[in-house]
Amino acid sequence: MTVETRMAQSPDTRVGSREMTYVEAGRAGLDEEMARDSSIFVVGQGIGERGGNFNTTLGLYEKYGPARLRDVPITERGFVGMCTGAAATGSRPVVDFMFIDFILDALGELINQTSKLRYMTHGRVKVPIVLRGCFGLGGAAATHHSGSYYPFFAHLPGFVVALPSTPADAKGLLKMAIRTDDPVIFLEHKGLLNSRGTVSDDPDLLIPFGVASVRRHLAGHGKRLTVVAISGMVSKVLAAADRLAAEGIDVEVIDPRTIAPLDIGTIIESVRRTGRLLIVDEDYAPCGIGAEVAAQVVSDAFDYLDAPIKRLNANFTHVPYSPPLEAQVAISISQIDDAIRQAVHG
Amino acid sequence: METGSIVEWLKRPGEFVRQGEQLLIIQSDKAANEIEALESGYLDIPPDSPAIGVEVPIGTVLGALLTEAEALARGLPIVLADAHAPKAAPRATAPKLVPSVTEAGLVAASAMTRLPGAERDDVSLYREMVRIRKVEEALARSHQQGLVHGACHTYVGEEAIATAVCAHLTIKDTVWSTHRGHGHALAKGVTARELAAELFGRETGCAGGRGGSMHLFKPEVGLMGTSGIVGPCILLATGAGYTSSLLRDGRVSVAFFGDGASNNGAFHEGLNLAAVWNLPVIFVCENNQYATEVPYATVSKQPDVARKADGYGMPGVVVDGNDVRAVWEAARVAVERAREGHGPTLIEAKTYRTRAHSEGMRDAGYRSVDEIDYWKSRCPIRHLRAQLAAEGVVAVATLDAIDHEIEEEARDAIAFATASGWPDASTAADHVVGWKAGELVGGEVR
Ligand SMILES: Cc1ncc(C[n+]2csc(CCOP(=O)(O)OP(=O)(O)O)c2C)c(N)n1
Ligand SMILES: [Mg+2]
Repeated sequence: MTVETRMAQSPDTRVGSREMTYVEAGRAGLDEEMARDSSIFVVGQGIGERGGNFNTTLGLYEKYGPARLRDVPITERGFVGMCTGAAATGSRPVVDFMFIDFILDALGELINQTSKLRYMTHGRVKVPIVLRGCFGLGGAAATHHSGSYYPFFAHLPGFVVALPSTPADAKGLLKMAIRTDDPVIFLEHKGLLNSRGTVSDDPDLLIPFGVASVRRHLAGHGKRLTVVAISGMVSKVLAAADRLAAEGIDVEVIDPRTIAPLDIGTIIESVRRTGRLLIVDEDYAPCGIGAEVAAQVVSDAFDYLDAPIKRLNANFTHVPYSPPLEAQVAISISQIDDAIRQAVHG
Repeated sequence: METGSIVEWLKRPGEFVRQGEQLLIIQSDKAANEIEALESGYLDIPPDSPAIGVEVPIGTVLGALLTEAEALARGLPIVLADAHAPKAAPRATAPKLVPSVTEAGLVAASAMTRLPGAERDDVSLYREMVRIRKVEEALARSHQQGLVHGACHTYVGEEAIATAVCAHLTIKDTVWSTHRGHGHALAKGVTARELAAELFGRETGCAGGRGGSMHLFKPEVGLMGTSGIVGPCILLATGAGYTSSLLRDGRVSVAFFGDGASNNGAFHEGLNLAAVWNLPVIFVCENNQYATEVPYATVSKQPDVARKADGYGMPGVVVDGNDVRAVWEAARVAVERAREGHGPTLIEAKTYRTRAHSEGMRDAGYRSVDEIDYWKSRCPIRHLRAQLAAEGVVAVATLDAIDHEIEEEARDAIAFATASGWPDASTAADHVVGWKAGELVGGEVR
């Protein structure tokens, strides 16, 4: 049976909505999908009775039991390979890494098997698998629990890389990821987990991949700038844009939502209106998503640009533990303000 | 209500049932009632439980919910044992249906516990081994002629293993193999034509020319893939086992891999997962004693790969990989074990490749001519031929006729590959993903 789905842009108005946190929204999406499709199972450490280190599966074990909420040994390569084989043979695994840093132990499997099976079989084998985890700086998590890594996957054919920035997107993108017959890397910034927002109860409301969201539109007066913000940076950039309106700066904020596929069209449309572009991304700058956006805009929309494209990224170093050291690596509020001013006036 | 009858069991024997879950439907004179489990446990429906539809008085015992230890002791086909099951007693050792490795090293397959199953068909086994041999030799010649591009690892000398194991599989069962996978592909149902065409890089190949020698696929018959990376097939087969366990589809999966792969982390991780979750997987290590030119003895202190099974709590058996009947018997027991829900088995088949690691590679220096000659003298095909001749059940003329037929099949396969077209170059970027940016998916509901 094929089920009708609706674009997030056109929610079913007969269905209600509720305020909830980002984690609750993702969990509601997972719950709805697991109720709908009994071939979905989740693996991870502590995702069973405990409900997940970040509460991503809280309460689901009681509903779906141990075979579908499968606590696994600390064998990241093993369970990624295992879930790839499972996905290729008719089930739909969701791998919950807790901290996404642990995915690194499984890169060989992901890149050589998970992402290539559909291609190598000439489209005859599908690999519906979701690889989710929390990422990003903050909370003195230190070097081994603060990574981002998403450009690795955007660099390769075969992966979707989803980076929801709101509770509604966390739900809609996770549901889309689960229903997709291909590998999806689904990344949740730790700083967003307890953020709140309104989320639809519509069980068939999905968010498609490769459709950016314009989070803030131009007011129509002041010096114009397009800012592309990734994941946890979206709300920070929105706050900065509100602050800097008083200085006569008019910012349009684009949230790509997925960086693979990347909705470059929406970004170029915005640059056509503003002539200036800044990319704010907590991940490292070299070979990152900002470099990719800049290259594509220069290549396809050079004539719209009135100034050089600017990037703001975290410091290019490993992530230290001590709070003042960590803060020095992260992107600060004042850095965002300054980067916006420079992009507009520079 | 004084009597009732079972309409349907909603759970299967060996299944873990949680407290409050619906267990069965009972028909009374008034209504059909769904009965829920009053506590959690593994379902046991004893042989004297009333059959469906038979009216029995109130108080008749229909089944029991057992702890894991009790269920294992009763030999129930436990599915996906739950490590966190409330009240579950510490895990007992699974009943061993096959013996572990003996000190002698090689376990005579006939010494294994006999279970009922399909008859062995020696003529079919002979035919399949000859097929693999002749097609491999034809492909090796094609490689020398430059018609096969890239690497080409032949299975010559090891034919008995794929042949005997795959004889127990249906097309629904899955096989996950390695760089040395031509034999597995043929034995699982890839045709000689599709194999040859794939190695020739033609569109009629089993992967449409995308794969070549090391990337053979025919999911339609359960050949889920051979691989250019040593190790992952072990994990992928484990995952296929998870699907079978979750969806209860009755399939088993097989991983074929070399002695070299047994030192890879995938071996440890895959065997552990398959064992701890009782998955229906058969791990077949083809110990041909070298990984490229590296002797197994120099990279593992433990000479028997099968002995490592003990560390994972699963049975491990060593068989003579050049004795197709011995491998057939070991595989029969392992497949039956898996199908009945008793979990995975590691089979180590001691064997030897009598050609170079890869066609065109130097084969001198790391092994002696005497050693190669010894193993050639232990050719699995000649061995079975001699057995059949001695037993007088199959006429030699019948075997000769098979040889000729297969020679023709191999010739035809090469001719087919040569005549096949190249893939359309404009399709090189097809099938990377199934989704389209900006579009939603409907998805199938199960
Ligand atoms: C992960 C990985 N490392 C190295 C190689 C290169 N390689 C290809 S075959 C091979 C030897 C494999 O030996 P074994 O597993 O015993 O299989 P055999 O070739 O003997 O059948 C090696 C090292 C590879 N393909 N994959
Ligand atoms: Mg070897």
